[in-house]
Amino acid sequence: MELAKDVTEGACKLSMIGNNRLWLENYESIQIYNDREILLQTRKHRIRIQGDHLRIESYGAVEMKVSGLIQSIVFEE
Amino acid sequence: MNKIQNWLQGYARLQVTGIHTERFISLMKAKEIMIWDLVPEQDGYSFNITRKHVRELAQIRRKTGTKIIVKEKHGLPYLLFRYRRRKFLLLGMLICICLVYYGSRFVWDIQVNGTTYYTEEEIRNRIEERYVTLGTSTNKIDCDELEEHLREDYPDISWISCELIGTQLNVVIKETLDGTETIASENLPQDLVAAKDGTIVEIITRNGTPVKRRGDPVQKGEVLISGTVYIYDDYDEVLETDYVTADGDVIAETEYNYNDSFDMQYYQKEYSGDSHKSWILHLYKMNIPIALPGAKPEHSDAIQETHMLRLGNTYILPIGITTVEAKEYVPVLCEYTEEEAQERMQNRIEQYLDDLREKDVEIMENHVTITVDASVCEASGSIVTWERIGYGQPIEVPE
Repeated sequence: MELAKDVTEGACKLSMIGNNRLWLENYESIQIYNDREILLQTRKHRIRIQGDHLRIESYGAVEMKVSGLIQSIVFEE
Repeated sequence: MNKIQNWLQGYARLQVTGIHTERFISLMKAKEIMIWDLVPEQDGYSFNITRKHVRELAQIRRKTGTKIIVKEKHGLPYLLFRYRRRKFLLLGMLICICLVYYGSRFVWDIQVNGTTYYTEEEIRNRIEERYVTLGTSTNKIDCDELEEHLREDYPDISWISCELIGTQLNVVIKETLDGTETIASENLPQDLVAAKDGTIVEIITRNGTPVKRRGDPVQKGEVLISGTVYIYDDYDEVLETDYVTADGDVIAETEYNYNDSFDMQYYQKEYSGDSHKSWILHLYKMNIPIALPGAKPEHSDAIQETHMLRLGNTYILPIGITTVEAKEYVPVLCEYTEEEAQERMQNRIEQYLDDLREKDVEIMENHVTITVDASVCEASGSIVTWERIGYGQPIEVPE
C-alpha cells in the first residue's frame, strides 16, 4: 500500500477553491508576509504566493488558510 | 460555531512589533498555538489569539526580543471580569431575560378585525368572558375550537380565522348580511330561501330545483331554489328523492325606505386652544387614573391614545398607558341656510347609497325627496335596487 507523500516525506499539501482561498498543511514558518506576497518555508521548498489583498485567516500548527486574490504560487528550491 | 466558541472562551487582539516578528509567529506554531486574522502592520503583525494562550506568549516574547501590545479584548471571561463588581446587574439582566421568555408563553392581547355589524369590543368581550382570558397560556389555546365556538355564537358570521402570533390572539371575521350571500354549508342539504321581499329579476341555478322564475314576486322566507330533487321514471312517476345543497344566484328588485332628518339649528365647536391632559396606567386588568390638578373643561373633545409596552410587533405586554387629551371648545349656536341644509342632506343620502353599493346592491331608482323648513330638514322616499336575496336554509331530511 502506498502511503501519501505528505505523511511519509512531509511534503507540503495545498488545497484551493478558485483563486480566492488556499489551505496549506506541512509548512514550517513564514518568511515574508504582506498584502501582496507571502513566502513560506516548508521542509523541501520555499513557496512564494503572490497576489493582491492577501491575508492569513488562520495559522496553526497543522493548517493555515490564506485568502485574497491569488495570482501565482511558485515553488522555489 | 467557531466564533461562538471563541467568544465564550474569550480572545484578544494582539500586536507584536520588533525585529524578529516572523520568528515569533513560527515559535507560536511550534508551540501549537492557533491564531487567526493575522494581518501585517507597519512594524509587525496583529492577530487574534484565545485567552488561555496569551500567557504562553511571554516566553516567546523574551526569546525573540519583541514587544506585545494588547489592542482589544473580547468574550465572556473579559465581560465577567469587567462587571465583577456588578454581579447584581448581571443577575438582574438574567432574571429580566427569563421573565421576558416566560411572559412570551401567555396571551396578553386580543385583536379583532373585519367587523361591520358587530363591534370589535363586543366580540373581544365575548372571547374574554367565555373562552380566552388575558394571561391564558398559549399552550391551552386551541384556535380551531375557538373558531367553532364563535361560529356557534354568531351564526351570521360566515368566516372566522383565529391565529396566535407572539402574545397576540388575532381574530379576523367576515360577516354575512342577510340576503347578500349564500352560505353553502359544507354539503348539508338546504333550500335557497328569500331573505327579503322583492320581484325576481334573474335566477341562475347551480344546484337544486328552481321554484321561482323571472318576474315572480317573492316574500321573505319563500323557497327560491329547492334542495329537494325528484328523479322521475319513464312514466313520470317519482322514482327517487334526493336532497342536495341548493346553490345559485337569485337577483331580485327590492325597495329600501329612506328616512332621515336633522335640525336646522346646530352647535358649532369653537376651540379655545386650551386642553386638559390626564393619563390612565394599565397593569394587567387594573386601570389607574392619573390626572393633573385643575378642572376639566365643561365642553371638550377627548382624544385617547393607548400605548402598550411591546417588544417587536407581536410581543405585547399587559402594561401600558393611555393619554387622554380633552380639548376645550365653546359651543356656538348656528343655523344652516337652505342651500347648506340641502347639501348636507344630499351628502348623507349619497353616503347611504355608497354603503349599499359596498354590499353589492345595485341602485336602480332613487325617489328620495328633500324638504327644508324653518326648524328641520327632512328626506324621505324609496330607493329601488337589484340585489342577491338568496340564503341557505337547512332541510330536515326524512329518515
